[in-house]
Amino acid sequence: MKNKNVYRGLFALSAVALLASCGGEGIEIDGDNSGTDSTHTEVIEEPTGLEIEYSVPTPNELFEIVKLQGGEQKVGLVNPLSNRDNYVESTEKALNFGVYSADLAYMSCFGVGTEFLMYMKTIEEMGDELGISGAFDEDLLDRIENNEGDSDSLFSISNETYYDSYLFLEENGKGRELSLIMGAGYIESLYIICNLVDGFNASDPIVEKIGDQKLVLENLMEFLASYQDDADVADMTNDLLSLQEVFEISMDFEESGTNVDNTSGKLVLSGGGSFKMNEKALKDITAKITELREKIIK
Amino acid sequence: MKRALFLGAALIGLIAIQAYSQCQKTHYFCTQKLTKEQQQEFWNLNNQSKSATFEKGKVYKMSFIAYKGFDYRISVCTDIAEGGDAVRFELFHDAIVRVKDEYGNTNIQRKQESLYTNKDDNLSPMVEFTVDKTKKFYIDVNVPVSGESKDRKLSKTDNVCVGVLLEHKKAANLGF
Repeated sequence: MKNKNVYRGLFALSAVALLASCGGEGIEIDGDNSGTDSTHTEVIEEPTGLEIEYSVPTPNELFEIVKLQGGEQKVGLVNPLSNRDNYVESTEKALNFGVYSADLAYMSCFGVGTEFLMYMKTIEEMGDELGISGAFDEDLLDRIENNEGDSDSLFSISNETYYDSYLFLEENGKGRELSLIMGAGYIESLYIICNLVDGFNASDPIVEKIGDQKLVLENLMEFLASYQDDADVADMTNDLLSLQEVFEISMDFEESGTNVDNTSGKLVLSGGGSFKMNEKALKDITAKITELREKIIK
Repeated sequence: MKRALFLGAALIGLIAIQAYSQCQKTHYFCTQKLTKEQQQEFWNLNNQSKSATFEKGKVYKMSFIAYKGFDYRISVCTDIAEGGDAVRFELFHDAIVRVKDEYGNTNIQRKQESLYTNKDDNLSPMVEFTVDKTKKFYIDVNVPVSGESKDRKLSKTDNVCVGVLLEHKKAANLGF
């Protein structure tokens, strides 16, 4: 993790900015709004000094759980293929490879099968141009054609493609491209789920999932920290830091103790302090993610 | 001299890449340590699974996110040939608590709290869990000190392949 310090420096700066912008009040905590308190998130370093490898859930995993919890497809949320010719530079191609991959995960999960093949072809072409064609099976497009209309198979194919691309990029030392793809894929996924909800409802599980992306973002930022030498990855990190600030400022912290039950052969973990969504948080996160997405797909 | 150094560095790089790629899918084999019944259960491969080349006797640590609404099964393995020590692992979650500092300011701190260790569970190679809210987890894998990798390229080295297989399925009670 060669450049973790850069990220930690940026994180510290953003924490200072966060406190300053909040006039010293910081994040609101349930039941404790004393004017003398200042609140901020302090990340305690690993006492063992162990290097940690950070995993980030894929867009497929997010859309799968959103669909299971009642999410319904909406049209017009994906990046149109007509934008594809705008992506000339390798950075633009890597970013929009991530965007289209997330779109593909959404379309396969929610059964938008008609355009699936065209999106997959575009991703494959962009992969060729990025020098990562080795990540794709030779018979990939045949498999899609043979499974057109079978949303389970298409979902599985899109999941495999994302994972194989990830492994290929990691194995071939293309951390820069991987970082841009993952960052853009995260932005597109969050943009889509923010637009699947119709206004704020505290008991809506999809609103909850939007708030959960705060944790996903933390792991993504840790992953990106290894590639801060690259100006484009550093730019992506800065954009994501601004989103992280929105999460930190807007969401409410709710404290509760953690319970662990291990009586049924399965650990059941309940409770624990967490950040909760509210109407302002949904509005602010949606606005910020729309801004970040526009910057990528324009 | 420069040429020799360059070739040496290239060779070390090549060995490292080969060792890495050898280990890249070790997690796929973690289910081999499970019982027949456990192997037959339906679980989806979770793409947060990881494999790595790691030094014997050291602790490999990774972090992942578990979503509310899924049940998870995590299995841990190495490619150490039969007869090697069982792998010890410990699962932590990122506990977020409110604390007051000496000046009376309220801070939100995170600390890793241990939830499970297979040391207390007959060195079970896997654990199942579910959460009522999405959480960040860490897993520490104690790579055994003894035993040799099955991989010919690693067998005479201090390194072995380590796999952490994460699987998920729809929670029985989705709403918790």
